Amino acid sequence: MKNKSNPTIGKNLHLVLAFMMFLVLPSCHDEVTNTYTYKTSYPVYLEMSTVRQADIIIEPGKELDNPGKIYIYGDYLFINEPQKGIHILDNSNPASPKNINFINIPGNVDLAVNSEILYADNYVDLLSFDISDVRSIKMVDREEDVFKNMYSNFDTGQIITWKDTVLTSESDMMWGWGGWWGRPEFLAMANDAGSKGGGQSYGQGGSMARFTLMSGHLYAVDEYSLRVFDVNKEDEPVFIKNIDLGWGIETIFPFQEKLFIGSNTGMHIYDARVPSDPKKMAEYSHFTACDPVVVNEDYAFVTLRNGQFCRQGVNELQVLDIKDPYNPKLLKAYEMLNPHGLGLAGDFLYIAEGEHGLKSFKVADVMNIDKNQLEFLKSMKSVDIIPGPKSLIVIGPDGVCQFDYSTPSVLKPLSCIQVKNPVIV
Amino acid sequence: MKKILFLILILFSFLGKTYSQEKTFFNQTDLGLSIGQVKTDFEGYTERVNFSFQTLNGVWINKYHATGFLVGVDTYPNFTLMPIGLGWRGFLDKGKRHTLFAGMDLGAASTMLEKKVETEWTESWYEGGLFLNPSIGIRRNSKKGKHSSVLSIGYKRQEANFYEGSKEIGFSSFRDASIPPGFISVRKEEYVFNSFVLKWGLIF
Repeated sequence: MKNKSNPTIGKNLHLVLAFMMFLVLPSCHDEVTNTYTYKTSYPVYLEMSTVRQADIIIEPGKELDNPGKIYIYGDYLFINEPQKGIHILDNSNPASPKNINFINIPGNVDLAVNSEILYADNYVDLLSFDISDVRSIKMVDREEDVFKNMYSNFDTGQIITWKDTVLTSESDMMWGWGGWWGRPEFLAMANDAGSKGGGQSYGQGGSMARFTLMSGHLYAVDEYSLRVFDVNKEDEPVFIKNIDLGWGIETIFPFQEKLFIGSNTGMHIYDARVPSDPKKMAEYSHFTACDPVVVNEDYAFVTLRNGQFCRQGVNELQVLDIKDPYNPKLLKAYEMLNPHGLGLAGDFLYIAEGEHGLKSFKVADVMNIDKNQLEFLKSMKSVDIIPGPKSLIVIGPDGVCQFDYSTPSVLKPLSCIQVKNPVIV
Repeated sequence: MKKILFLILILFSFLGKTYSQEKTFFNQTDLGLSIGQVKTDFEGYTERVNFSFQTLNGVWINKYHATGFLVGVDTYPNFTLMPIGLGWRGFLDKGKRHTLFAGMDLGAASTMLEKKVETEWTESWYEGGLFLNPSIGIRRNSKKGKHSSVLSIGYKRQEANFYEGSKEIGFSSFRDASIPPGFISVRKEEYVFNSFVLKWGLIF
């Protein structure tokens, strides 16, 4: 037995030895595949003349892919798909909204409806649609070259848009070589590249017009300015003027002949008693942060958050006293998680806390809002809120959800329109 | 977990067969160095010398073969892995004091010794991979014969990955399958470490 096994093992050993030689000799160094994958966007140049030639097509209702701005008009819900167009839904029963059709508008970011006329931006132009019969929508007007800042070259009529993409770069080096021990300080380099990609991928570098209607006028803000249109004749908006606002303009909220404009650096208040010629009343400045705003007669509620574009920001809800609109005063700031949009309905304030959820507060006592939190729906990821006549509409990364808020302290889910590819956060 | 149970069953089936023999349990514990070359800049390679520890516990199948489970700790540039696997040793036992032997270890490495590092803007983590470790060496029995010391050389191929992601702040409309959700960029380093391993140890 012994004599038999010995030679066998001997042979095995030689085989193992040969195998090792085979493995060791050709690969005497480490193999490293370093793959850097990042989201970014690249510029696409379009001739505005070509854009104008193409027909605006009304398509049958289709699934939501990536909801942007939302607008309620009568029993209809308008949901913008950034850069693509507008979904129209029949919301006469908020528990079961019905998809009616989709207006294919390239470069569309925002919308507003005025007496059965829908205004929508189409890159640099403002379009008007007759929606008196939503099943047979007609384009009635094209106001050309009103959002001029999108032109890369006005003379040739060329505009610049950004297309999202994912790029990959490879190398065969081990980054952040930390010697033999210890975790390296990798982060700086990768981060720079990351934020560079991030700066472009949301299309915020482009024209993110935000529309609002008041006193027969349409107000649109883009990054730098406020544009005023006379829409007293609904189907023929007339561009009146452009008011420079500075930088980082984000949102516009109309209230009692005043315009409250939220920017990266503060809140502007404009007197719009003469609707065609808004006058600056005050500018309240704060740290750089992203900040939507809502107001009632006495107070303005401003949320500040840090984000991709405002990284030094804070996360809080600020309450401002605006009884004297020429001199807004900060009353109190409440710490929040990552507040995005907000909605005010009477004494109740709803705050979209981004991926953290949705919060509701009673704000009758503005000095004690934190003590009057009613609900915190952590599973309802949300970015914006509209308190509608029939339901509270909440926009989140997963879709558009509606709640019965007739009892403000208890939100009752009615329906959710799921997006095609929800973001898993 | 199921796999581990299955392997334990196999081990016990070996135990049944070998119980009658004089030596049943086998243990080999080694300490050593693993030496490799890694490319850290465009110019060329830097030598790395890392630490390796491993203990193999199992049974003698007969006088020439032993097999068992192994667990160890291996350092690599920037991180530490914990290999877990199966090992085999074959001894060319001619009854002398010095015996030539060969070994083969196979398994996967765990990154349980590395924490996921998360900051407000980034997240980084490691992922272990498969390893293969053939070796040859010499066993030298002690005078009393209770244990023996071993000296071995071998080759170790170890796979591992490192990920570093920049978090996406807020919600992005743009999704792509090549980037995990919630990240705006991800850097992945796939490593195959080819090491020459030199070890000293004891067999009980």
